[in-house]
Amino acid sequence: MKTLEELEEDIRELLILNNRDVNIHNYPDLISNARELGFDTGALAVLVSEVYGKTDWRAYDRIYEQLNASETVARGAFFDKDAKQIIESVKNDLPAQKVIPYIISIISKEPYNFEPRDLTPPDWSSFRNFWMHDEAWQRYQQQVEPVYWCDVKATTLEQIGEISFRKKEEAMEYLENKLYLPPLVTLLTRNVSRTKSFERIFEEEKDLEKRYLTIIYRLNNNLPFRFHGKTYNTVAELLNDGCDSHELFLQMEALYGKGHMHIWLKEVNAEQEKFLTEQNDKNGFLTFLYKVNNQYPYYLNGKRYNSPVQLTEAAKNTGVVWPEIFSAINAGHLQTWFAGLNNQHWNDQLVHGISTITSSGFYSEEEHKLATVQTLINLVDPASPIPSVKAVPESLSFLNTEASKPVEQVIQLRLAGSGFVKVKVQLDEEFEGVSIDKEFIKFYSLVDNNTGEIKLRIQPMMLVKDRIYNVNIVVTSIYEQVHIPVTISVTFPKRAYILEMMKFSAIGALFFMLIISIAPVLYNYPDDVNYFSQDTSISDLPPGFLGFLFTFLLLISGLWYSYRFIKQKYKTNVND
Amino acid sequence: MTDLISTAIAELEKNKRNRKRKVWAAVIIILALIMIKPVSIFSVNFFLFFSKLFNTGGALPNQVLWAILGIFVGAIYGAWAARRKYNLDAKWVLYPVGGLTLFILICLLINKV
Repeated sequence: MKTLEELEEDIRELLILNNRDVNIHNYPDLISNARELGFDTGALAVLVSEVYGKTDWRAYDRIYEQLNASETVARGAFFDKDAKQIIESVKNDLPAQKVIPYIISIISKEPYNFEPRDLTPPDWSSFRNFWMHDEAWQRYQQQVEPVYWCDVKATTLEQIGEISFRKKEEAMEYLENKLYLPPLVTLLTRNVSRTKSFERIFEEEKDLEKRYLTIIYRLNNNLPFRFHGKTYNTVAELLNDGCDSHELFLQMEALYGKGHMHIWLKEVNAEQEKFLTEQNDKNGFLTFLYKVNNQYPYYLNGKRYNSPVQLTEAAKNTGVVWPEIFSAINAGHLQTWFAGLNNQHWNDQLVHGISTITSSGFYSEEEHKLATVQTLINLVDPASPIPSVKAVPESLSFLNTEASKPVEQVIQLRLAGSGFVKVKVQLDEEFEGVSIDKEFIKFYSLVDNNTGEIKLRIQPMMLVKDRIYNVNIVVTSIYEQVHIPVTISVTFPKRAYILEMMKFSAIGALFFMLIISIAPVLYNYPDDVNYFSQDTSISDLPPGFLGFLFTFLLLISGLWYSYRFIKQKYKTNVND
Repeated sequence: MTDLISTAIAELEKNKRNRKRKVWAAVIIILALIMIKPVSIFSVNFFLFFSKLFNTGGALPNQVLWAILGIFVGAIYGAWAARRKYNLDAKWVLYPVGGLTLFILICLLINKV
């Protein structure tokens, strides 16, 4: 059951096709459809005239006028270029789909009686073949002698092109040198400049496949493009199908690399020709692809990604894609994709990120790759967590440690975000006696490497006593800097000091007492004895002066050897 | 053949060493003989000095004061040893030195040397 609009549309179409003169009795379907809607024949006739009145026939009138005025029509023929002219002239009012049937409806009936010629089977619905009435067709056939190309009759260049398209291998044999085609072109066109353009193709293009393609599209630029067994009339369709699977994508890339698409688009003068790039490598292909339509997907290692966010989601889930992503970044493919998506600022930020990684100076080549991919993830998806590092404990204090034994403390670093990061750990001030055991720690959440440990070692004996040391453990990554403050102070070892003194005092007292008890004369002089000068003779010295000498030497040697003893035995022994 | 040569060389070195030692010994003996007199005079004066310094007139035996001297000297050594062992500041060695100086000064004030 049709609606009233549909019925009116049908009526309008019939009016167009029948050049505004419809005999409703010729169309029983129309009558029955109308009856279903409640129109009898009389009411239908009224409806027809209503529709006639409602339609704007001005555009159709223009077409009619042009046909009448056309010279070629007067001579009895109608070609595709004439049709294009007319379509162009009414393009603001009518679409091409409506114009073509209207023209056909006029020229196929009285008084013109044109028929589609020259193609078998003839196509009654388009202007691929030309339309002539019988007389003109006979005249034409006599005028133009057909040529035979690949054993098929041809009267125009377009036909030769079509034959070559259908019979590719045979045509390619004939295109190996310029003996075969150019003479036929001269025959058909009677114009040597066109032949010369074909001869130039033979001279310039040595690759047979490319020569074949250039020739057929120059002969007939309506020919479609052959890809993977199917033919395509527009680049958009070709790319659409090509993006469906990785295999097709690679084949498209190969075709682009060989330059075939370039040839097709240039000869056919498609509007996408301006998107073609000079380089035929993968980056050139990607640039072209995304200029045509930046919603096309990107294939990484066989997997399809419809958007950069999808890619980063995959990277967040598994580490297998990371090396692949890095090589794509290195080759510039991802950047081409982003540029096509109007995200050039990502590329700039990526360059900035990579230079930050390199300038930090402590990434090896492997780590550099991981860090680059991590930067990309955070760039594309700003909501994903930055791999930041937290310290447990966040600060340390060693106040009033006794200067006896070394102290060790373990600080744990935890990855708070997710992803990959490498940190450099160092003290912000160097002191003897305070050290950490590691310089670099790596974190990678995808292999469950989420924690790292630093050991802080303090040797109180090497530090100055009763002084407060404030030092920071600085954990640096390319994203942040974490400070862990450590306060240390060492107290004076009072007990040990006094103990040592007392030890040696006791020994000293005993020793000196011993010395002086050897002979009472050493300490028992009357008050009035004077010092002996150096030139006293031996006989004037008190008897037993050798004893004085001996005791004195004993004293000196005792002091000397205890000095040596302490020097040798007492060292700042850190392993005490 | 080569070990013969090496033993010959070792013998020659040993002879040289022995000769060297004999020379040193001779030098020392000669020096000692020369130095005995001045050094003995010095040592007599040394003990005389301390005997006058520690003159208490009978209140305390001299051994006690020598022992106190020994305590202070020992304290200096002990402080120095502790400094080496615990990496202390230099001032901690100077305290006992100060103590010794004080002791000597007090004795000097009391007695005339």
